[in-house]
Amino acid sequence: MRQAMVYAILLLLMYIPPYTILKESSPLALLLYWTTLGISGLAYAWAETRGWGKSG
Amino acid sequence: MDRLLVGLIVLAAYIILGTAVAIASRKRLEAGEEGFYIAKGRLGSFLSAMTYAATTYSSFMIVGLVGFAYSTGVGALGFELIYLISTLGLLTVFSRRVWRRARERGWVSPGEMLADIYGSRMVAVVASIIFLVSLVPYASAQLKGIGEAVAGLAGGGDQYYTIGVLLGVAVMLVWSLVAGIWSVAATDALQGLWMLIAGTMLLLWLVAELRSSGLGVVEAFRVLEEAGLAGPGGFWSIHIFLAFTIPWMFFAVTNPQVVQRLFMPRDEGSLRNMVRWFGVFGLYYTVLVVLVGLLARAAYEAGVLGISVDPADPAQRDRVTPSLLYIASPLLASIVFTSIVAASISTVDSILLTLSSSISRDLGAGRRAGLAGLIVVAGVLAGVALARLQYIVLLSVLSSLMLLSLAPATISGWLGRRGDPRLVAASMLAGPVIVAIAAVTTGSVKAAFVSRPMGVPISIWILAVSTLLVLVAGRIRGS
Repeated sequence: MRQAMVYAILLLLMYIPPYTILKESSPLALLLYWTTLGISGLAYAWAETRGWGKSG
Repeated sequence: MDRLLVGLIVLAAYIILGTAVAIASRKRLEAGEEGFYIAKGRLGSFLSAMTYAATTYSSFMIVGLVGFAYSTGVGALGFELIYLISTLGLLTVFSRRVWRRARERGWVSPGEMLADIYGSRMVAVVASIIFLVSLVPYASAQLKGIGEAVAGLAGGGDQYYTIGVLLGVAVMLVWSLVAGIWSVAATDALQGLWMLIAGTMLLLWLVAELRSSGLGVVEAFRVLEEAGLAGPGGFWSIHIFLAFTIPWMFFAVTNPQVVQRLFMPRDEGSLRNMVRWFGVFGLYYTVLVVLVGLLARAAYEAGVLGISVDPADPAQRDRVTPSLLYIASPLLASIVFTSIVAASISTVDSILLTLSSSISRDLGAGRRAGLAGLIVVAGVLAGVALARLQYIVLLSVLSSLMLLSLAPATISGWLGRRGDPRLVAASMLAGPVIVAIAAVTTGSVKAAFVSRPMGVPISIWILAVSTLLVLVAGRIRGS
């Protein structure tokens, strides 16, 4: 299902780039990178739950 | 004013305020186990979100994660945010269907949910035994943390440790028994707010102190980079990162105290707000505590503030927050110290209430026995904490691994699949059994946690074996 796929992609992004293309990056860059993914996960949950409780 | 005196005044204010909130919540309590354990599914948005967040985030955050960020760098943020993203994913995908089915079927305890799905009481009994075995060390470690915090505030001494543990048990029991989940959720809300405010004050104070020492936040990160903390490497090898993150990814489906919280919101709107505001709480608090740890490390590297905790010594990790509190003003130190106690109590009283519901409903002991069990379990937690057994902390680390094998059976059941209950029960036992084998073969609980039989992390083994058994269970039932 779509929601599970989105979160699976977010999780892959949490793991793969920091251990490949970002492995030499500064702590601030990694902090911003991971935090951005966290915000994305939260924003997606916010959007996906928008209809809950509105259709009875 | 004397640090100890200020600390005791703030702690007393917290306990009085919390007890007043607990007593005020009594008017909401309805008769019966559904009322006592899950508020008959009548929790509003605010209480649902705050009790989910405060139960999830223990004192590990403000003590353990600060220390992890200090010693190991920004990889600690990745570790904790993977938990948050996984939980948001699991809640987005499953929470609405679980909430609906809980209302239809009258689920009160997570074991009861599994028994109903798989049509066998045995599944609930096995689940509740795993809950007890896994969560008693974890909850005892929280009480141990309260004892150590109180002893630290008072300048050491065994008698203060004992007072701290007994105080923690007393508060936990009173706040659980006054109005069941209503008093637990209401005090969780108070404690969650206290944790957020205290953490914010600590971070702002640290930033201000660093700036007055000529170190801005950007410069602080430059210092960290120069100290060799670039990238997620060092401690956070990919193997360690996987060992830490995989068990926590499934926390929302394996830990009964959070699964039970899916039964509590009064309507879908409250459930929606629970998911959303838990996410806001989690993201804010995680970034905040990691920043405290990283900035404290920058202060150590720059030789300012007088922090002397050796980042290379794992045994000193939990001393980072206390060392900051030693430098901070007595009032700030007392507020943050009390937030450590609050984080522990809000986690452990929720666990206690869930274990009580397990004894009552899953083991079929009834309501009176459930309440008696609550007191007995509290006594066991206190006894274990007072014994100051070092291996209890180590065992608590393994709780996430032991509970991991509940994930396939729970998720499969939530997806509407059925299966042979004997094999489902066997799948749930895979975690404790594999952990026990790993502990015996490696000779150490710590080594078991990061062990890699045949090059594969132990968490993957647990997931693979338990998933296989659940799949086979489904085939047998289907044939």
